[in-house]
Amino acid sequence: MKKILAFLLAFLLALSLAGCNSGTTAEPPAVNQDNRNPVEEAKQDFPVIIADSYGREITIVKKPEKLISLAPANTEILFAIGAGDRIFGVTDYCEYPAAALEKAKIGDFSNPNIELIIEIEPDVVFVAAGVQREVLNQLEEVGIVVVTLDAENLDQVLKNISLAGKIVGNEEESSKLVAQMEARIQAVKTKLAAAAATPTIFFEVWDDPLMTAGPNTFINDLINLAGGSNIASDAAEQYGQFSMELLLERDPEIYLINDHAHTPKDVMTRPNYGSLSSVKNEKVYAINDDLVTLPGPRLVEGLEEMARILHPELF
Amino acid sequence: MEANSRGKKKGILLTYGIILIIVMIFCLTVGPAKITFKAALALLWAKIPGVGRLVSIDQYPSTYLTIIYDVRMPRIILAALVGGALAAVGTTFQGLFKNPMADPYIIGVSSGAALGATIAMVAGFSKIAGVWALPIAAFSGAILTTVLVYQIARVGNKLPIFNLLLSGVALSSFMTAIMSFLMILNSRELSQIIYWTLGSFSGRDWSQVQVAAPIILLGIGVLWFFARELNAMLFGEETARHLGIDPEKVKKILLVVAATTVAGAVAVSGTIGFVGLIVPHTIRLLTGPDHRILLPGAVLAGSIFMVATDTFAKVALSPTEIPVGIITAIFGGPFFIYLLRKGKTGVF
Repeated sequence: MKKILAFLLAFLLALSLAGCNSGTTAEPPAVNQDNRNPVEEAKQDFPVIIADSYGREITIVKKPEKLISLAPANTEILFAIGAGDRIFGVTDYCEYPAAALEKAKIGDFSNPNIELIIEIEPDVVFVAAGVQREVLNQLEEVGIVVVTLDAENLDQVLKNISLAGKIVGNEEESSKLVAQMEARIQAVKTKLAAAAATPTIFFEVWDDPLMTAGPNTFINDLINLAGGSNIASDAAEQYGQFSMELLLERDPEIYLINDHAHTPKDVMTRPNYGSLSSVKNEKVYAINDDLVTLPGPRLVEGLEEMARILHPELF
Repeated sequence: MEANSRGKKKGILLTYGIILIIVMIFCLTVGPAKITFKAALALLWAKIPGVGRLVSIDQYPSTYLTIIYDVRMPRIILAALVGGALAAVGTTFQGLFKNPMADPYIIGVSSGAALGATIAMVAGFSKIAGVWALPIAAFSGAILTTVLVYQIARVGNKLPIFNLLLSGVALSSFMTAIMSFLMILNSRELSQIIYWTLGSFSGRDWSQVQVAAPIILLGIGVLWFFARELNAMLFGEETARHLGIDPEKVKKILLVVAATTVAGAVAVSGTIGFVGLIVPHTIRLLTGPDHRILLPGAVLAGSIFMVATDTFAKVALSPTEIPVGIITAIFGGPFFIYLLRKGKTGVF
């Protein structure tokens, strides 16, 4: 019984790790809409009061000097808005940008070391939702300021970047980044307006058992934004097993895999895959899955790459 | 009287066999893909030599043929093989150990296989060995564990059953601990490892059938061949010796054959629980303890149960698949408790 419980626990953990956003209680971060101060005025004043992804109101009394990031996406956001030099701790999984590898490691994503975090005496710790709720509680109990940044879609990622800029006092940089990202998204949308068709897509998360990305995942979101249609959008889980015979029946026009596990050639030589149109037409492509799963600034790259794969004629 | 009862028992086997064939054919027509019952039957009929020409299947897309013959059929056959293997070995171990708690995994085969598979996943063996990385690693883990358990349990030339059970349990926990440790260190592979340990026939094709079928069929055959010896062992090793049986030799042969059979099953399906425990008990309640009937009866019933639960696992949450091990436990547990309460008699 204990063993089964342990497995179930681990299972939940794994699922929430796969879909970092699975625990978010879809409350949009209540960013202050009446903020009339033009961002260009820059030199913002502390204290600032913000609401994080859980909608919790948090007061940042002074410009934080020591930051810790407990999620790869948060690390990317902080580096991208020029706060990288103030990061004093990251997880084992924070591998981007390369400078993140130089930072002190405080454990893995689901199980960071609380003692190490306390020892650093951070001004703000950035966590993800879901599995890290427990960590959040533990840190708050000892009086550390914790901010949850998590997202279920591209819009929320943009809001998180603005929010992070406000928290660390780098609003100028964050506004610039958000504007750039919005421009790139708009550019993709503009090009896609000329798309003649909506190709059907299968995204392979894992091959054995065959797993895919269902609804409410970034992969699903990006497929739609890139002018495609995910054949697993009616799946029961975010990241679940998918039936082989349905794959054959729905016969996607394009087959996407993540580039760290397989190559398109592997897929094309698998038994039974030969009858798929995507294999016959050699439309199997690999994509860096960090670009399409981490709720950080690189999602735009993921979107652009996805759009290039789905609509090569337009890019 | 005796002959009459034998005839009746042969009738039971025949009935199970017919049910298995009906269930397998029915399950070929059921699945997440919306192939109608009529279309599936037509596609099946069309491939029967001689009479196949009588139906036309030109109106169906060619993916239907792939789905029926290359996705569903190998999967159903594999499920039947694995279900039969688990039931046969469960029966053998329950008889050999004279222990109602015995299942195919009692001497640590499953933890050995799971550890092997975990190492393969964590170390990324699939980059070298492709789809065969997991089956090879799991099979090796299972066999290696059996050898270890055997060596630990052995006293000189003898193999005391209690030693075997205890060393199996001890080694099992030890390897599960190592596996958990590897899982914690590699939490990115966590969900894949857990999916594997829950067991699944998802995405299996003919190549797995070709590898598993000879091991499993030969294993079941040998175990059945030793049914008479197994009956004698049930009355104690002394009695067996009086009947001209060498208990030590029988134990060793059964252990090796049973472990290899389970290893073959686990390698292609993961560690599916409950089938090897409850199917033998259920059939024992129906046919009695004579292994000559019990063993083949359990094999057929195990196959039926596995094919049916796997089909359910495929369609219940379609298009998402549920690992079949969850279904076997959900259905198997309560059904067995019902039988136990209804019978109100001891299992042995």
